[in-house]
Amino acid sequence: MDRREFLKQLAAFSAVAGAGRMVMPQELWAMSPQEKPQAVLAKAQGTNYAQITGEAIQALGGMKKFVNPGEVVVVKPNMAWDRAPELAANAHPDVVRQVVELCLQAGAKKVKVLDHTCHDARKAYKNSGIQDAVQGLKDPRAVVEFVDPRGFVEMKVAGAKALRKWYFYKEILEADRFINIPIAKQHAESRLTMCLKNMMGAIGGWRGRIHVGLHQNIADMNLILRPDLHVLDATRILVANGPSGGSMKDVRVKNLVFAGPDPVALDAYGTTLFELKPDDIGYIAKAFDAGRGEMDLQKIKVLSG
Amino acid sequence: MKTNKIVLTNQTWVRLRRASQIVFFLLFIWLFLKAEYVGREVLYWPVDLFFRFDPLILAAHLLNFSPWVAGLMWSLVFVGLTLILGRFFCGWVCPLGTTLDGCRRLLFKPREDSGVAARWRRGKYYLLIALLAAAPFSLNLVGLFDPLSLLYRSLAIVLFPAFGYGVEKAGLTMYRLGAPFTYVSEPVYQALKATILPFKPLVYLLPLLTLVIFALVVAAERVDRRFWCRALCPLGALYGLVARFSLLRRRPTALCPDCGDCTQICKMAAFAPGKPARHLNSECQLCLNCLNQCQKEDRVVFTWRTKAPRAPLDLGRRQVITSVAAGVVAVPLLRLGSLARRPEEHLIRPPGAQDEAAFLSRCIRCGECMKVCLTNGLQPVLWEAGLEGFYTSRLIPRLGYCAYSCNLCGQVCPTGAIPHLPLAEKQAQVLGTAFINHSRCIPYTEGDDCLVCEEHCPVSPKAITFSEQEVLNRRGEKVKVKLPLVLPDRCIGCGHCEHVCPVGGEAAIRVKRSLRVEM
Repeated sequence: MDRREFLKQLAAFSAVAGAGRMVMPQELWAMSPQEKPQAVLAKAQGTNYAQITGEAIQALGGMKKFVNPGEVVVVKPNMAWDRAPELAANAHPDVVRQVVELCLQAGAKKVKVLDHTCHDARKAYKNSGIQDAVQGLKDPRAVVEFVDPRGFVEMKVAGAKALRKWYFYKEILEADRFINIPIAKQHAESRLTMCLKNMMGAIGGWRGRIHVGLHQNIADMNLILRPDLHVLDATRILVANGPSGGSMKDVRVKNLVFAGPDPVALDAYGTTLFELKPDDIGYIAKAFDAGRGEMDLQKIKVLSG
Repeated sequence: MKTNKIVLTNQTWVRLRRASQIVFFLLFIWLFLKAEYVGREVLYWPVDLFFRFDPLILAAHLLNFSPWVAGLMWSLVFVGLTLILGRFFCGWVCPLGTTLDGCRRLLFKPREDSGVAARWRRGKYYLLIALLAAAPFSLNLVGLFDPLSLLYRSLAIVLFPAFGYGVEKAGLTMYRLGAPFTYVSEPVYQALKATILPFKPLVYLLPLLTLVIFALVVAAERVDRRFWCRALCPLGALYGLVARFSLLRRRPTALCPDCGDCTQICKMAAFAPGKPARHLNSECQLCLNCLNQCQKEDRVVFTWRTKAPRAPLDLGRRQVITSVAAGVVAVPLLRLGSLARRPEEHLIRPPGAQDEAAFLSRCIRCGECMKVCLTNGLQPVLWEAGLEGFYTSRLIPRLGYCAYSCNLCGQVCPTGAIPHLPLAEKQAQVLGTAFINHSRCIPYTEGDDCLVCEEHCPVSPKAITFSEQEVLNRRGEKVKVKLPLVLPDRCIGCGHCEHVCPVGGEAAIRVKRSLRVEM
């Protein structure tokens, strides 16, 4: 075969393979069911953050309820900022490690820990302490991955009021299970950031632009991104200069971890930590309107871990 | 050769020289690749090693009375070795020399010496003299012509990013095609990503200009072998001045009357014109090809014991005076233009390099800071800082901000032009001050909340705050929005706000240097 012939064959093969891709049906994304999740959350208090994380999840029925053996799990903690754990800008490494460990114990085939960071991903992963904490488990099934910029796919958001189309991370959509680990923080524009807003780290595109009309956009992206479990880290919270923080003066130690399947319920409950009400936060009300969860504190069942 | 105890054949010596060239070239590339953040706040490898062994940079640094940098003193080791061996650096070490040798062998047919480089031989000395004459007047341009700077800069600004871009594009194309292509392409792509590719694709300004300059240096190989080294390289000239007195010398010390093959063999044309055509220690780079290829057996040797007179360095008094004058006169000529206007408002210098005059006099334009910059925000300057500022680095926040917890540029700078500050001190450096353009900012003009700038402001308490005010939105309705405000005395000018501003094109918040950097 000479060069010319080889090039011809390559071109023909590429054309066929390319055409094959185009007519293939779109994959079915694995996400938790479309109906409204159960308005229940678990609350655990203590100074051993790994232990209270375990207790909160146990109160919900244990990780086996959320993760089946042989499944691929994506864990998305908030590790967006190049800040040390005590500064309360990122989820606590002990909380994340405990969640990953429980997934492994439940028999997960693979647990991927990732976040689409705001600061440089290498520094944020490292200095949040989460990368080292997960790698410290020394389990080949648990990996901390950097986001691959090629992996964002455009999705139509059914039922969206503003964000009708956006880029979402394929690895998350394709995973069997998706676990969200936000930290409760003050955020000037949206006032607070917790479960619903943490989904900003699962999308791509020009994220700065999302901040115009932020509340509706957050509610809309949560129609696509439906984590099976949310673990809200309130071991320490940031009450000012969020979401990046940077000073211990703005950190309040609460020693609390919440967990549950309903992000609206968790966020609604979380507002009380900051002496706010659920409907003070635009995106909570908008996500409730979209049927994404329950925001009435009276209707949320609180289990103690 | 009964006196020679060590039995190494001439062929082996040439092979050793080639091996040395390759080893140093690979070391250069290795250190280049290692100038990147990989999870350690302090870089593990001494990535500026080659520049510490560069006497040209040391000479200019000392001549313009810059603060003492101990690391640069290592170059005295090479000066000492040159006094003993001659210009071994050019033939055995210099990565640009190796690049030129390699490119010549790959790209060009062997041809006879055209004689152009030989005629231009003195040019490099005049260039050296002019550069060093300008140095006491704080004009330090050696970096533009230093071969190590030239190569590093070309690698950093264009060659490496172009390579990275090629791989990224190929990887993306295969990724889009999906299986079965990805079965082959992804392992290759991921392996490259894990080893030599940068964490994020790098982009720099001035790629074409940088490539053209580099290509010209390579293309000159077609005119004559090692044209750059023979005619232009000021570092070669400096080594040549020292090598004149080297102990190791070639014998015979002149071309043999019955042969003269050495003029063809020697890629440096290291023989003075006239008869006898004396061997020039100042030009010889000890490639040892003449030793290896001598047809008249064993006639060529390199020995410590030669008393024969040395060839004079025929630079010419007038020409030397002209070179000194050119260097001195260049100082006002290059600066008059920039004295006539105010500095560019958006010329943000790296942290700690806010004293423009001191920065310009110390910077050697190597591009290490640009290569290592965590966010790819440090970029080469064309004429925004005056002609003198060519290829110095500036922060362009739209491309990358100055990361709050990073001081890598100060760690790698070989001359302290960007000082190596402890992190706490670096975080207090004011690079400029952010200003909001009220006619572009979204809350001011569209009546929508945004505050992305405030969200990312890294100082605590934040230098960007907001005030809730009623404004007209785009439909003419009165709405309450959070209008961002900059508190100038807290702002450090890191440019993170400018980087993330969601306004298209020019950001609605920009870092300016006036008021706090320009007094």
